[in-house]
Amino acid sequence: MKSNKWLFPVIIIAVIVIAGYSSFKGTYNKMVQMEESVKASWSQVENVYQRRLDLIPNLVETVKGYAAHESDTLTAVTEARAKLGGMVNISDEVLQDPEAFQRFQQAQGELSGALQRLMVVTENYPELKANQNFLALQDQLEGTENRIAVERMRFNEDAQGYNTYIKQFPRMIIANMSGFDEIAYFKAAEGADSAPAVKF
Amino acid sequence: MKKTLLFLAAALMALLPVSGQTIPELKGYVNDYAGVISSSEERDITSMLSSLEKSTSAQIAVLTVKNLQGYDLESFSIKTADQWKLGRKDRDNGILILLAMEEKKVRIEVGYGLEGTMTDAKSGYIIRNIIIPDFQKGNFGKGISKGVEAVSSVIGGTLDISDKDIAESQSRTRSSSSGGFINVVIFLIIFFLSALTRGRRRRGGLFQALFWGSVLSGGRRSGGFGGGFSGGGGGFGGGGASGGW
Repeated sequence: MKSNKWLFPVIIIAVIVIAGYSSFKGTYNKMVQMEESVKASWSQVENVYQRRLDLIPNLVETVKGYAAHESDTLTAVTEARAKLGGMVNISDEVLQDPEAFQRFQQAQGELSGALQRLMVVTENYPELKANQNFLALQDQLEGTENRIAVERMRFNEDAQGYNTYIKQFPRMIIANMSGFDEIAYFKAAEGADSAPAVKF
Repeated sequence: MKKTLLFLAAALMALLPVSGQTIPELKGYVNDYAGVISSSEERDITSMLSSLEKSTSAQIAVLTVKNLQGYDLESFSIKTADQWKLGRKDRDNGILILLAMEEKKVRIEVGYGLEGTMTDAKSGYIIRNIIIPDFQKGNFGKGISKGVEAVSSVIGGTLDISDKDIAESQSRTRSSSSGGFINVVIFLIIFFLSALTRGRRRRGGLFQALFWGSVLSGGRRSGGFGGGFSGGGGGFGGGGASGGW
């Protein structure tokens, strides 16, 4: 009969521990899942940026054939691309490093700007504009820029969902304890970073 | 001053829920909200697209709108594609062909799974060389119909627009204007042939579909007979091409 005195508090403590454990587990696992989905959309972003890099040599060659003396514009594109060459496919860690993320975004922005100027210059070359090869490349570039816009938007949506989740009370305690950090967003930067408006 | 700000805020609030609903409803293969496709053309396009879905499971839908309600073409297109979810979920094989009358713009939005078959370059080629020429003459239904035919032939594997075609059309358009005519004739012949073979195939396809439809009671199909028309859950990533006339 004596043990009855202890039974009740023990049950209460057990219930609290089990409830605490399961809520911790649920929250933690949800964070892992959301972080993974942000990483997945990040790799999509990298894919489409890589696609743009792959497209550039061909584009530069084609433009060169018709507009060789626009060397400044062409060099700007090639240089901006070279700068990114060592940068794309950087690991997921960049997501937790706002400065590196900023640098990555800026380098991509420079390339966008250089490409934009190149496409504006091509407007002055009717022969180039009539070249179906060039038009096909232009389609691919436009498609890629559009893909970049779409994947960046999706990444931002996922990152926002994740950030909101980990920053809310009381989850932020678990997030801080387990090392879930805030993830940086893509920002629509000043002019340079917008997709080239290639008009037909 | 405060009053106008309040009024502006109220106006914005009133606009927000509406802007969520601006994407037109998916009614079928052809969603002619601008009213530019004749009923016989609509029938042809619908039968073309339903037989394509039966044979390849790729789901293509056409949308015509009067205007884009202030969106740019690409945003409107991806929003619609995201909402309609054309194509099968596991294959992402949907395509949206969008036509905006006031903006005079057309776009082929390609789902993730078809980006390899229906590349940006091919989409652009079809827009420039097959769709736009009819649009410029004001034959919108015909242009869409030919575009749909070309897109479904590329997906069905009966038409391959290779780099060579793209290069050849270049030399022709450069050398003489009659080259365009030859091009059109060649394409017409290809379309005619592919239409013939498809027509023959369709009969078998229909019987087969009816048979399997009755066996499986059609629960798995997304489009199909009776009931509502809906997308199959396919995803889009901004692939495709745009053009204007």
